[in-house]
Amino acid sequence: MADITPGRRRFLNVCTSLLLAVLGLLVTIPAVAYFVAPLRRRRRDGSDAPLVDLGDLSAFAAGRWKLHSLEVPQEGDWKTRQARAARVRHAVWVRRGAGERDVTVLSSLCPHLGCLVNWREGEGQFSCPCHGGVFDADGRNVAGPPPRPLDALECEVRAGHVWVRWQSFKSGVAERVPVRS
Amino acid sequence: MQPTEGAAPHLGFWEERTGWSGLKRVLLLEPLPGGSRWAAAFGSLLLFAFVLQVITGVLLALGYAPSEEAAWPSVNYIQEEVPLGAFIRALHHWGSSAMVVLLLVHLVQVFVWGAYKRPRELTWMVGVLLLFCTLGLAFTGYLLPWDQKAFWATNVGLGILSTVPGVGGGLRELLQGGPGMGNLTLTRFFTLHGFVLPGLLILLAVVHLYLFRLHGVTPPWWISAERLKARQEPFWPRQALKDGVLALVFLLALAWWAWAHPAPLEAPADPSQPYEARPEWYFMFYFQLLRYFQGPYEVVGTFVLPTLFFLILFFWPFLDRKPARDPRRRPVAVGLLALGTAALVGLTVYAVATDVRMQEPALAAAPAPVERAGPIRWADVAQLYNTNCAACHGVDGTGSQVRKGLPTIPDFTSMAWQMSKPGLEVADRIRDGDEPLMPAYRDKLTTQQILGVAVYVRAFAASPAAVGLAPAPQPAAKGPPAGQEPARPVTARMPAAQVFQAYCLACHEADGTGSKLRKAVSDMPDFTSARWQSSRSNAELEHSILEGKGKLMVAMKDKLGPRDAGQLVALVRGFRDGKPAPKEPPPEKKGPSQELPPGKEQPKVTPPADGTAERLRVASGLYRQYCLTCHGVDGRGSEMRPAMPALPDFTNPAWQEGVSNPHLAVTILDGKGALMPTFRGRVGDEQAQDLAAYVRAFGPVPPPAPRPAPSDFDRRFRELQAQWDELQRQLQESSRPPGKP
Repeated sequence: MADITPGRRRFLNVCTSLLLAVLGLLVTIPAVAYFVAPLRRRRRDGSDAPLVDLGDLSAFAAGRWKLHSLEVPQEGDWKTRQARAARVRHAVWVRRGAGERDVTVLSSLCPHLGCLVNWREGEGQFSCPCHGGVFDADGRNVAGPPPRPLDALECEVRAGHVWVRWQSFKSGVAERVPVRS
Repeated sequence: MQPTEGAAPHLGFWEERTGWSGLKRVLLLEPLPGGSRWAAAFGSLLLFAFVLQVITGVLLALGYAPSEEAAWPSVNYIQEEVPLGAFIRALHHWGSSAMVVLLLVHLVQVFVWGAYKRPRELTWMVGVLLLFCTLGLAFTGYLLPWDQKAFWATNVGLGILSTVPGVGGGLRELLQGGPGMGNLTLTRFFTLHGFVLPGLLILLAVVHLYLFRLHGVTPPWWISAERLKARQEPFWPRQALKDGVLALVFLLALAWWAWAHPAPLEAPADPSQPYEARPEWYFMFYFQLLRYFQGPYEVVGTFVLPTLFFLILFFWPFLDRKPARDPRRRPVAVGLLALGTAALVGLTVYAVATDVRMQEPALAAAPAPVERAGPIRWADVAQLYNTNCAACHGVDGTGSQVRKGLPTIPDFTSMAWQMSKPGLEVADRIRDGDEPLMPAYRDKLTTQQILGVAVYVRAFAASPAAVGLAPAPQPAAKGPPAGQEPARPVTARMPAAQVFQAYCLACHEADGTGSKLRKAVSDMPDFTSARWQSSRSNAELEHSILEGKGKLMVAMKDKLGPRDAGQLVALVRGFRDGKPAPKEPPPEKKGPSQELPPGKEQPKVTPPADGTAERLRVASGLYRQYCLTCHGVDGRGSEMRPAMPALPDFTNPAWQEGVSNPHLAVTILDGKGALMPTFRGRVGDEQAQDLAAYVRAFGPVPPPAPRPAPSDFDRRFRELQAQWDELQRQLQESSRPPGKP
């Protein structure tokens, strides 16, 4: 201890601190990189997702909203490595119009914060059970916090069946922004 | 740790509020008698290795699910999909081995140094408990990937535990969470590995460090007390620097090793698959020890000796109480250490070197993940099938020899089965396995080989002869079915589009491009290519269809007639310029029998009563003509069974339950296995359905309706048709340029 001059001591201090810092960073950087990996994967906005069959058009009464559930593939964990891709259930509001191929499909998720909205037949409007958002029979936001109308989903009628393309949109904003997943 | 309220304001913000200089004094400025030494760095290196295990372990736990269904897939997911996942897992895997090595080095060093002597006995004993914890972590962590190796090694480990006299069985069940290994074993081991043991280890390490700091580092025995005093220096910075350098070297070496050697992940655990369980290398001495103690003495090897060893190790400071620390003056202790080390190392080396494994089962011996240059050859595929699949599915693809034990095994020669597995489904099942018994081959076979075997499986339905099957041995005594082959008018009796779906689509695909299989089969033609189309004449194509071509195109002459071939060629011509295959029954206007909207039940199909009797009469005539020879008057087939073990007993309720009507009808039409001939051409589609109903009548409960078969068959067929349409639609959609509706 006695043979160490103050200058040499400072140098040793700096060296040791640097070395330990390098050691720490060598461990921490890969660990953090691993932890944040889900943020770095390739994303798609869902507009190229396959259409899902909702069943026979005649099962939907004209002019009335009906809740229909559908399963869509979801990527992102080990289930997708197994034979059948992981699927997740969502629900949509479906209404048949007057025309032969006139069908409207609305996402059931409230554009405010993503709760599942209810259709109130008596009042002829959708209402969100969470924060009291209200939408008219066409899905336009008329009262409460929702910043935009209910999100219409792309749909078409093929051979008498309703097909819909599920997409999620960012909640809480006035524009319709697809959630990239 | 000084009270700071009276401190002068110039101490600084943090010092004033945390008093960290006191902590620094305690942590970093500990005086080391004799100065810093490389030899003193092993303890902290061990600590560093443990911290590394904690970090990598936490990262692995982010993507791990401890359950029978999900454990292997999630580890596989970490290994294959997660960025850096394989590296982190390799670090954790090899880090555990490294930690065991470092622990042994530390233990030997402390022993030679005599560092366990008074007053440091408790430091040593806590250290031995830390050794226990580390080995416990190694044992519990081993199971978590739930692969074959993990399952069987843990099974053996638990078996060893159960030999503990008296409480062994209970201990095993306690760890295992039940009478057998399963979900609860995984959750328990995960809890032990991720929470209990690390927590215990941290607690013990804190006690260990506290005791170590209390008594100070053990100085070298060869330096006098005065010189130690004179050369004393604090931990910081010199010892910290040495510790840091050693840790850095360790980290880099481990990272390099882990990068080059991924952690192994074998096939998912399967209690029905034989496996030669071997422990990790640091338990191999124990494995070897067990070979010497057998029968009633087994407990000596499994329990008595290890317990004795650890008891002696644990209480060693109280057995060796002389104060001398110089190894030269402790011949007994050093002798024991040398003996123990020699025994451990010797047993380990001997065990690894002489470990005679039984012949690797054919499954594993298949020259699996070696990519062969160039396109795969038919003979290779046949060999792959025979080594990997034939044990269950049979060389003939029927799976008949094991069906009694595995009722769900498919019959590859059944067209109904083939049609229920569209597109690449067969290849997917080979790759990923299928519940509950089909193992996954993604680790044993390359993608090319899997595709090749899938084609081979398809070929069973197309033509048994094409896959090198010997002609069906005919029963020696009776020969009516034999000799009829040449005269048989072969024809598919299906529209060309349906023939294409049944026989061609599996390889050539709905759009005729054959693109999915081309990577395995390089000479796969693209029907949409104008160049290919113009380079082949119709006669050439017909010849290829009927006689086969190259190594993989199977001859269809057993299934199709020249007329069918002509129609098929026309269909293939239709693919030119990317035109999709004409769907025979378009979704809008289906065939004449299909005008009912799908989904509604069709009572209409039930035939009028007068027709039923007539049809059954015809069926009974057909049965007598074609089936009776083998299946017998009573449908039991008892006379022929000695010659044909696979012959079903139609009166057996289990058999009746195991087959569906469409399956029966297709079996009648297309034959089955090596012995059931095809009757297409001799028996019409409707007659086959009637025959199926007739066969049903042998069953214990006569079918409620005399002829449920046709509607059932139609319905099933329509379902398949709908699936095809849907698949083709999806295919078209997926190949459509994005953005266009």
